[in-house]
Amino acid sequence: MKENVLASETQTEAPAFGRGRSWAQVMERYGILVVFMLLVVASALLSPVFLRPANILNVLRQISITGVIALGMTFVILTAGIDLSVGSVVALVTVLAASFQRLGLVPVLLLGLAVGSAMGLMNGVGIAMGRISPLIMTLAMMYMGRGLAFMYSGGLPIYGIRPAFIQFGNGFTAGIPNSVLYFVALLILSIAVLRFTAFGRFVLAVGSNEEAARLTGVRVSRVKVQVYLLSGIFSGFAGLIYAGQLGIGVALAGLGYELSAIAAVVIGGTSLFGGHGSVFGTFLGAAIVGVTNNLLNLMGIDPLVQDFMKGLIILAAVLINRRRT
Amino acid sequence: MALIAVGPIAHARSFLFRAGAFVALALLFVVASLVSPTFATPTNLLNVLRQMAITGVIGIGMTMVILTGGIDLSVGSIVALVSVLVAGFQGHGTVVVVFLGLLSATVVGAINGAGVVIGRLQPFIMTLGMMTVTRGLAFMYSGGKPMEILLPGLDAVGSRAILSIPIPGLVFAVLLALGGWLLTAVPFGRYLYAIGSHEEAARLSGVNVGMQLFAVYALCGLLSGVAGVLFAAQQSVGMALAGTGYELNAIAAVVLGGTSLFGGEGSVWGTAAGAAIIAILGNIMNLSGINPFTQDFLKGIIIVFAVVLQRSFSR
Repeated sequence: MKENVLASETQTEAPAFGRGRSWAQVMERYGILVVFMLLVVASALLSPVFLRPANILNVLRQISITGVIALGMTFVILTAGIDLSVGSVVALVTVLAASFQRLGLVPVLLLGLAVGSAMGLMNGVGIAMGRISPLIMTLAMMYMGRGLAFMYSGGLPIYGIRPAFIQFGNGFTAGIPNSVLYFVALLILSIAVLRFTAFGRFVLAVGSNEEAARLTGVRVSRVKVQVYLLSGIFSGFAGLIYAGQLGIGVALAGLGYELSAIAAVVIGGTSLFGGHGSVFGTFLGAAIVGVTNNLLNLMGIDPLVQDFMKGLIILAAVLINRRRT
Repeated sequence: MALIAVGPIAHARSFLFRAGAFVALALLFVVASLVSPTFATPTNLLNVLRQMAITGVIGIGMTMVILTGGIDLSVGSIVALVSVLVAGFQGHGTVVVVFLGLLSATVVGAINGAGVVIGRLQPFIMTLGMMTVTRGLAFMYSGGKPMEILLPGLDAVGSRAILSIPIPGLVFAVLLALGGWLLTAVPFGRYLYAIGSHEEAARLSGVNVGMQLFAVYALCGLLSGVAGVLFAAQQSVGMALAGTGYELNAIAAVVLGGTSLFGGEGSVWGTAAGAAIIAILGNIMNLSGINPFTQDFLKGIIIVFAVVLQRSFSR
C-alpha cells in the first residue's frame, strides 16, 4: 500500500515538460485556469460591460474579503485540516474594531490581528496538542467567537467607525480599491511562502503523510499550530477590511464565510485530504465564484434564481476540472 | 488503518472508545439534573427528544455517508426544499405531500450520488454545489416568502404523541433502530465500513463501490427529506431559509458520537448520543435562563470539553 502511494505520488508530481505531454496532463495541471478563461470569455460575450476596468476592479473588490480568508484556509487544508471558525473571527473583529475606534487606526488594526491570532492559536493548540479533530475544534471556536461577538455587542450593530478606518477598508490608492491591493499583496506573499520557504514545504509534507513528515524530523505539531495561527490572522485582517467597508460592527458579520472560503480552495484544486494544491488555484477558485456572481448580476438575473445558477456553474467548473485518475 | 486489536486489554479499550460519547452523555445528564430540578422530569426529557429528532434523523444518514469517507453538505437545503414543496402542494393532502417531499429529497440525494460516483467529484464539493442549487430552487419556488401550512394531518405529526412519546421522537427512534440494523446486520451496511476503511480493497473484494456510494447519498437525501417533513409538521411553515446550518449540527453530532471523518469507524448509536449531547446542552441552558447570546459561547466550550473527555476515556 505504501509503495502504491509513493508510486502515484511520483506520477502526479513529475512535471511532464516537453514532448509526450497529453491533453489529460495539461488539464490536470492547468484545468482550473482553462475553466477560468472559458468563464471570462463567456462573460465578455454575454455582457459588454464585463471587461471594463471598473467592473473588473469591482469583481476583485467583491472577492477580496473571502479571498483573504481563503488564502489562510489553503494552508490549513493543505495540512488536511479545516477551519470553520473564520467567519466568527470576522464577526468578533468587526464588533471590537467598531467599539475601540477611539484608540486610533493603527491600534485598532493591531487589536483585530491580535484577536484573530488568539483564536487561531487556540485552534492550533487544541488540534496539535489536544489532538481534537480540526472540524470539531474549529466548529467549537466558531460558536465561541460568534457567541462572544453577540455577548459583547448585545446583538446590536455598533456604529461610529471613523473616516480614517473607512479609508483603510473602502478607500482607493492610485485608482485601485485598497482591499484589492491587500488581497493581491497577501496572495503574492502566500504563494512565495508556500513555494520558497521551509514552512511551505513542511505544510505540504504534513498534509501528504503526517507520519512520514514526523519521521523526517518535521515538527508536525508546530506546523499545525502555525497554519491555524496564519488562518486566524488572515481572518482577523479580513474582519478589519469588512468593518472598514461596511462602516459598522455586527455580530452577524461573516456568516457562511467558512463555506465560501473552503469552496474557493476546493474549486481551486486543493485536495481536502491535504498535500496537493496551490495558493494560485485558490485565487482562481475565488475568482470563478466572483465572476459568476458578477455575470448573473450584469445579466439582470432575478436574485432568487442566482443561487440555483451559481450552484450549477460551480459544479460545471469542477466537473471540467476534475482530477483524472 | 487501525491496528488489529488482540487480547482483553484491546477489547476493553475498543469498548471504551465506542462508549466515550455515552460516558460524556451520562455525565452531562447527571450535571444537568443537578443544575436544574426540571431537567429530569419526563415532560422535559420528551421535549429534548422532540428537539433532537430533526438533527438526529439527518445524523443517521450523515453517519452512513461519513462512514464511507464522504460528507453531505446539502442536507439543510433539502429540509428547506421539502418544507416549501409541502407548503406549495398542501392542497393534495398530507399523504401526497409527504410522498412528494420524500421523493424530491431522494432525487437530490441521488444527484449527489451520481456526481460523486459518475462525475467523480469530491463529495464535499458536489454536495456544496447541490446545497446552493437546492436552496436556490427553494427560493425560486417560494419567491423568498414563508408559506403557511394548514394541514391537520401533518400538524398532528408535529404536535401529537403516541403513548405520550412525541411523534417526531418516535420517528427518530424507529429510523435509528433501522439504521443500526442496516449498518450491523445487512451486507449493505458492512460494505459501507469496508469502503470507508479501504475503498480499493473493498472494490477488489467484489463490493460494487459505485452502487453502494450512489445508494448511501440517496438514502441520506431521503432521511433529510424525513427531517424536512418533520420541520414542516412542527413549524407549520415552509421557507427557503429553513434548515440553515443543519449540516454542521448533524456533522457535529456524528463526530461527537465517535465516527471518524476519514471513514470506516463509527455507529449511528454514537451519533444519537452526540445529537442528545447537543440537545441537552441547549435545553439546560434554556432551563437555567442563560442569555441566548451567551449560549453559543458556552456551547463551544462544552463541545471541546466533551471531546477531550471522550478522548481521555478512549485512551
